[in-house]
Amino acid sequence: MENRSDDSTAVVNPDTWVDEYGDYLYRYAFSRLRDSNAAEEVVQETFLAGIRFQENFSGAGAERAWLIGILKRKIVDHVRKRNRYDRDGSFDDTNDPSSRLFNQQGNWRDGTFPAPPDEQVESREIWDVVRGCLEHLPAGQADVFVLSAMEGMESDEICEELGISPSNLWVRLHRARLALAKCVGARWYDEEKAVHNAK
Amino acid sequence: MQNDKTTSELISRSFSGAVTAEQKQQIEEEIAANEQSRNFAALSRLIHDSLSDIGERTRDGDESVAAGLSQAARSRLKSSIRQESARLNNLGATMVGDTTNKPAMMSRPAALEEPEDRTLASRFVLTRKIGKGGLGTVWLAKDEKLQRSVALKEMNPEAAEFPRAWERFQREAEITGQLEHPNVVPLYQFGMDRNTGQPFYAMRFVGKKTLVDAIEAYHDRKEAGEDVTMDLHHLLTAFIGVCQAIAYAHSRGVIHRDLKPENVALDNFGQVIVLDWGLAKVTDDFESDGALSGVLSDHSSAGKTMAGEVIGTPLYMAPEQAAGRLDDIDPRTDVYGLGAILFAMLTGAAPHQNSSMDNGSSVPIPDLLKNIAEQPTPMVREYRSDIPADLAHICEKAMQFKAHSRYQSALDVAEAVQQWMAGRSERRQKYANSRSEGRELRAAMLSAIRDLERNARFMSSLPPIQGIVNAVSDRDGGDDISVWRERLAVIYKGLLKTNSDFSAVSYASADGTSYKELIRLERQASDSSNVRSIPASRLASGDLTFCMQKALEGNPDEVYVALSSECPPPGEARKVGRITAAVPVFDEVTEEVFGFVMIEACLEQLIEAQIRGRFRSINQLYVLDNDCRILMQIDNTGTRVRQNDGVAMSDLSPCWSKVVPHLKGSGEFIDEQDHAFYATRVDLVPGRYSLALAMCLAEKPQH
Repeated sequence: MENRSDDSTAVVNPDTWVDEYGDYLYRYAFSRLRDSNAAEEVVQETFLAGIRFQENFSGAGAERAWLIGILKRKIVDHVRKRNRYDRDGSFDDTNDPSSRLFNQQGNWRDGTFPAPPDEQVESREIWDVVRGCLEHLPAGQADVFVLSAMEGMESDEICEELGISPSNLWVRLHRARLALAKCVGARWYDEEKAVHNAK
Repeated sequence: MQNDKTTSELISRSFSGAVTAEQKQQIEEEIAANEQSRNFAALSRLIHDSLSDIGERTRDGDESVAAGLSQAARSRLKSSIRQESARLNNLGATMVGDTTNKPAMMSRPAALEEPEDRTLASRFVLTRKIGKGGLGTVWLAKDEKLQRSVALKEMNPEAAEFPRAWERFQREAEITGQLEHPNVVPLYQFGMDRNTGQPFYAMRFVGKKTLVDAIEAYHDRKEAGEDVTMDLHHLLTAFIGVCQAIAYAHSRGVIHRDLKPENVALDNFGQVIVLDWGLAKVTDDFESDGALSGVLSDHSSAGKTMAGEVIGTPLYMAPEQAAGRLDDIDPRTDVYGLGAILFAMLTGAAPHQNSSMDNGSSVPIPDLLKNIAEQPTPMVREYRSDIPADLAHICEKAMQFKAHSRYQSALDVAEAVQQWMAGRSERRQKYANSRSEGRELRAAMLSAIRDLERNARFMSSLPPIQGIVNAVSDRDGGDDISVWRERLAVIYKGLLKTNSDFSAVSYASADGTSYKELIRLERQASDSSNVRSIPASRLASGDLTFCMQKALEGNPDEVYVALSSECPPPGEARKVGRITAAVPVFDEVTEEVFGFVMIEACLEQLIEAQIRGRFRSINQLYVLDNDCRILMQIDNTGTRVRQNDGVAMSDLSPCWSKVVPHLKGSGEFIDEQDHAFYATRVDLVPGRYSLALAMCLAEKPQH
């Protein structure tokens, strides 16, 4: 029979999970999904999957890493599901910011981008602005951009996970970059002005 | 032409794709020259870096990035964890062992191969290896806790190095565990070996016998000429079980994708178990309550592990799978797989076996896959010709190249096979009936012919026969020939009156080359009740026919029976429809052959008299001559069909050619394959093939 004194290597204790890892997983999920309900949902799915397959878990010290591994999968699943009906939507011209940015010759319209801030800015500050801008992007563009830039997923990986073609991915990413640069630049400028005026 | 738009694309690409040194240079030049492009690049860089930084910080647990869980969310999560734990504890040791006693362990006796020192006492003791695949090894093991044998699949150490293998192994266990069906192997426990760190799962031990063994046994027995009716029945019953398991899996959103006889286990009690769900795909769109979607992160991992790869066994693979068109894989891919299993059952060979070999050497896998993806699907009948046509049709429909032409569900396949089996037993019964009816008819015809012979013999032994011999020979003391003729006519008339199928009786003298009728009574063609004696002036004479010659060559009382078509009078066209029985007459004084007595019977009437009220199960009855030309055709209402008279049977039915050798050989053809035909030979003279009866159960005598 089992030698119980040797259990220490792989005991998991789901009862403590929420307190120990809840915030951590939630922040991770929220930063990727930018939606508190969605973030809570994937954290819950992660915990439930962890309970069902706790025997997979191999080492005590790695419990958090194990759960984050599950969470990453759940995030990608969630993204795929919420983009399922938007697979081709990002090809729509309505989602293309180019017309706002370029003239008919394909050159920048005047004053499209202000100069970015000179000094070192906290990522956290930029992130707040970017998050606001991401909300105005079609989900299909915002999500691939986040998976690429934040989650560090390779292009082919994203294509396979979301079932989209490389060219579709490329178009989405590019449009996201253009729109974000435009939006972040404008907002940043506005905020700077507001700060300046306040001073 | 370079403009700002293309520059922006290059800048964009520099973040997520490789740019060449030349392009880099180009970007730098543009940035230096164009403020807007410079600002776009700088903003993009800023955004990208901040996201990447936030990504890293959340990974590291930086709490400043965002707020944590709300109190409400926290309690919601805790409650769902408690519920799930409680639910699993109630389920007992299925997917998860009890938490106080884990991880589940296995050990193997030290003497076994791979002699690592696995000394820990544990729940599972490995007994012997049952099989090994690329991903895992299956052992027969003993569950020490419950004292039962289990099959235990352990991930191979070499596979365990690859995260994909891990994922696939776990998926296999998850999927198997979620499919609760009598025809899916029940999973007892998923766990990890503490010593090796490798995952394993325990499932019911279903024995080593698979469909492969059953198929081989069936074909061995078939080759040996044994009765394999029940073997086929068992195989098809097992097949229906496989269909049902697959239909169930489909209802749970799972596609097996690797259906082949090796993956179907058969235990000794007739239980059919579908194994090896390691390549299964969980369909993306499937999200009904209680389905697999929640637990399994499928599509992703399927995509991740399998995109561009071809998964499954090529020999049984559907075209869309061989082509690697993962998006096209749906339940109908399994329908093809089911067809492929049926194919193996019927032919003893895998569907793509022929394409896998070229001049004795095996075709490289990529070429084989290309063939499967592009070439027409193999047909069972190309492998074997003795497969029941409608069963072959089921197989071919399931294996249609285009998914939309296949059965649309596994249940449809099961139903088609079930119907075939039910229909077959009905057909078998019907066939057995018509076979015995055919044998009865043959016996009745033979006895009618014996009657004919007996009558011919009797007609040749009457006193007037020798009286006429004497009169013709001008011997003294005899009556005049006309007296004898009159006496004989009375008797012959009586014969024709009592035997309605006899059309004429005659007595003729013969020398070596010609004959001369001395008396002839015949039935009038237009009025069968009218029997008349032919006046002496109208009596026939002429060259001997073949039948007459044969009769004259015989000994006293030896009757020669033949079809009129076998011995047409010289110079006349072949005439059908009569049987003649001729017996030689010897001069009692000289003991030389004098002539012959011949009775002619109408074949049609003879047969109609025999079949009256006798046939229920036959659709069409054909009477054929020894060239297998149709002499008579009678349909199921007893009506004489004349349109095919004289037509060769082989023109009417392409499969007739296989019947002929049987008729010429054993004299009987039994259609074990399709139960469509029965044929038997009727020898007018024993050993000489003159007539055949063919019976057809189907509407038309063809497949």
